[in-house]
Amino acid sequence: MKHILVVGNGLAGMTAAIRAAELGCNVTVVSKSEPARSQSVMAGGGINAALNTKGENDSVLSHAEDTIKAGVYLADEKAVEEMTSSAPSLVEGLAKRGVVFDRDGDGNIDLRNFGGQKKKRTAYAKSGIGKQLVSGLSSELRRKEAEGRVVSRISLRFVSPVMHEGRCIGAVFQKDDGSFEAIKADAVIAASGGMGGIFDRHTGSALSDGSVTASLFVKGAEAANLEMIQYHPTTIETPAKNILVTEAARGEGGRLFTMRDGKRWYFMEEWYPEGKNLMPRDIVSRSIHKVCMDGFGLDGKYQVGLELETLPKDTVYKKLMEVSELSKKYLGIDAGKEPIPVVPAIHYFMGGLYVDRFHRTTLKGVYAAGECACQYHGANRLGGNSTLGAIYGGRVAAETAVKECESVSLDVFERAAEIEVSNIIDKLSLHREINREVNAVKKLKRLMTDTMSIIRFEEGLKAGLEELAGFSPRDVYAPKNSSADALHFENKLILARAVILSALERRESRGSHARSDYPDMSDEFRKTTVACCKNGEVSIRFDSIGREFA
Amino acid sequence: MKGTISVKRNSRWAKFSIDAEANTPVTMILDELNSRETLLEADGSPAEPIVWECSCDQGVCGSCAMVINGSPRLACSAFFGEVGPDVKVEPLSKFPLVADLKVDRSSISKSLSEMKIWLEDDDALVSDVDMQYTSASCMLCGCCLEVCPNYSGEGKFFGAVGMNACFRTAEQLSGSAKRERLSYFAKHGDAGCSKSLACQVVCPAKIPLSVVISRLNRERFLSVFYRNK
Ligand SMILES: Cc1cc2nc3c(=O)[nH]c(=O)nc-3n(C[C@H](O)[C@H](O)[C@H](O)COP(=O)(O)OP(=O)(O)OC[C@H]3O[C@@H](n4cnc5c(N)ncnc54)[C@H](O)[C@@H]3O)c2cc1C
Ligand code: SF4
Ligand code: SF4
Ligand code: FES
Repeated sequence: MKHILVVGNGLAGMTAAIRAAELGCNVTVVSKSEPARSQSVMAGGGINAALNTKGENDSVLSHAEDTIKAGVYLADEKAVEEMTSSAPSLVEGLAKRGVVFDRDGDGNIDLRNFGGQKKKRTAYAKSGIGKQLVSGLSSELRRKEAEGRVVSRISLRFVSPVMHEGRCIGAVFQKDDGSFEAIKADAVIAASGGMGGIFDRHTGSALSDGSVTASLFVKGAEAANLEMIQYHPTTIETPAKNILVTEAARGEGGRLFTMRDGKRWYFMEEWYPEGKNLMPRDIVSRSIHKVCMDGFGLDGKYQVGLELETLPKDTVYKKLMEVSELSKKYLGIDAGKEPIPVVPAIHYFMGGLYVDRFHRTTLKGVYAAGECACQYHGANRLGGNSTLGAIYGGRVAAETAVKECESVSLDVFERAAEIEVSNIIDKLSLHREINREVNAVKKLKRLMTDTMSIIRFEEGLKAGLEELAGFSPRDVYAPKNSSADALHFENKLILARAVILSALERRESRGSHARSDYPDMSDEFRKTTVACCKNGEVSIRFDSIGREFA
Repeated sequence: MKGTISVKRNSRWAKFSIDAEANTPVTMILDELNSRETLLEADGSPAEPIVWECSCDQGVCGSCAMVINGSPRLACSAFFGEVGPDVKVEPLSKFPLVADLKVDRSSISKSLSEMKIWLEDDDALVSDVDMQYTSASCMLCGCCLEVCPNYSGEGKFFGAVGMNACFRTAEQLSGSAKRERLSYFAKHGDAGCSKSLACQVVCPAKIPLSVVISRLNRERFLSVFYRNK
């Protein structure tokens, strides 16, 4: 019987596992922790589907159009259309499988407005869609486990793929006690989330650290549109991280301002009299950045104010309860009385492992879905489209993997795995002898967040590359029980280089990628940026959009 | 603000000096310790980095649950100003220890499987959306089990986390599938629960466990009643 190995148990991983099991395969889902810990539980706003229950004449086609437009024509249109066409039945199916959604007066799944879309098409569950989706899907996964189709393994960390004649036949993981375990597979599906591990002050989870992406990239899987990083305009800075303040705060009438000549200056309203505070995320983020760089940051800091205190108290404390509680808890600010200081922060990675619309990567035997993959969102993602992309993509990845996977003998696998594990151990032995730099990862994150800031320019990017070159791959200190972190660090340095090079080579501004030295969009760059790694060297090329891999 | 943090490491307390702002969460204090060039205990003896779990760092994933100053809670939502200046952290005690503050909570998943926390077919009932939502917000953190006088990690009683999961599933099911879940509630929940509601006090997801338990009891009564009629 076919055996599919899924890495990651967020929305994409769980969906892939369930689908592969439905198709009759044996599945092993491996992850650092339980589904309840994955970044997917953090999703707040909702999931998009043109259910068209609001009498607004919505259609899957206009969902596709909005997605493609938001992605500034970099997304694979065919893939997007397939996703948006499946979205209504997919969301209804989730509800039938026990995912709790808010309902309207007629008992239909209720829909809300979300940035960048004119129609109400975001299905939601109060302020916690991610948790509801994860609860529903993990029940389904549990059932598959009980049927004997799926084995869930947690507390295992992916280290590297096991390769044989150019094909991936399994992967090596590290356990809590520091030992390694190789798992054989007829196909591997990466569902390991975004690249948060090479950036600081982002809104995501520490588990989704990009380690799988980096490892696969170094082993030859190409990566695409790495420069496309979404900044969410409104996050609050807490000592530990930046926490998202939902778009709903502005949807309910919240206004962004800063002080000028002793008065509140509502810069978004002045600059964009039509869309005002609800312009797309990239535009709002860039506007805040501009205000702050021009020296108008609130209280002289890199921040602006989010004014909610002028809204009805019911709106602040009830409708926006999550926001008012957040600001109370983390900033000690009563949002009904004072403005909340907000800053833009990294929120989503549109780029990642290069996949075609069937979710094949360029590494044979490896498929990828969810935030680790570059699919559906082009140069910018619509709120509510990434949970959809993760669930739909996980499904497609499973279907392709099941169709195409090939078995190798246990013998072949064991030999290849043994070589891979001994390579890992050899490499790690170098690390332990060398200088221990506890903060190398933190320094890398700082450098990357600085370099890949909201506005980029050639000198800045080049300076970033230069500084990156100063990192020694052996710099990092990793305790024995997570020694593979040292290898991840080496891989992340290479992935980081690919991110900066991608930004450098895209000499235009498009969507989330803004260059002060190339402020205009250029047709020449309506292409996919492809980063490729050979023997540790990174090269960049541009492919026409929508390529399929054989 | 200066202070100390004592970390229980394999039944031995290790004390570290710290200096943190009042709004610093315990997760960040631990992270800061691990970022020191050389980590020394307050008495100067060298220490290995501390192991603990963290994911969202904003109170929604349950990873960082640990016992802080004697009560189970989420470390990312426990701030130095409130729990300091001398903080004591130890791992949840009802799960097998992995290392330092990290425990193996797979017993929760096992109990949910035993109670068949899934739907039989693709036809979930939509009834009380608010309660279903709240119930599904359970982070599987294990705080409720820590304070439960009757939960030991062994035996048939699965604690509040199990009863809550039963509730959510039973609410979405009907007929014999629902009755089956209600019987698991009776066997793995109600029979062992003394209704002290210590669980409700510590639940970081604010699940009204008293409501969950009483509604399950009512449902069970009704199901038995109607079946017998
Ligand atoms: C605060 C916030 C709010 C959001 N709100 C929305 C929203 O309203 N709507 C929307 O559509 N999207 C939203 N998103 C985005 C969306 O939640 C994510 O893009 C999506 O859930 C990603 O799912 P995933 O399955 O790809 O990955 P994740 O959920 O990130 O899961 C990754 C998995 O991989 C595992 N993993 C990673 N590395 C390894 C390794 N080395 N070894 C083993 N396992 C590994 C992790 O443990 C985890 O299980 C939001 C994101 C954030 C941060
Ligand atoms: S009510 Fe008391 S006995 Fe029952 S689960 Fe809660 S803590 Fe345990
Ligand atoms: S019921 Fe509450 S305390 Fe218990 S596991 Fe769920 S969220 Fe944690
Ligand atoms: S890290 Fe997620 S709850 Fe604390």
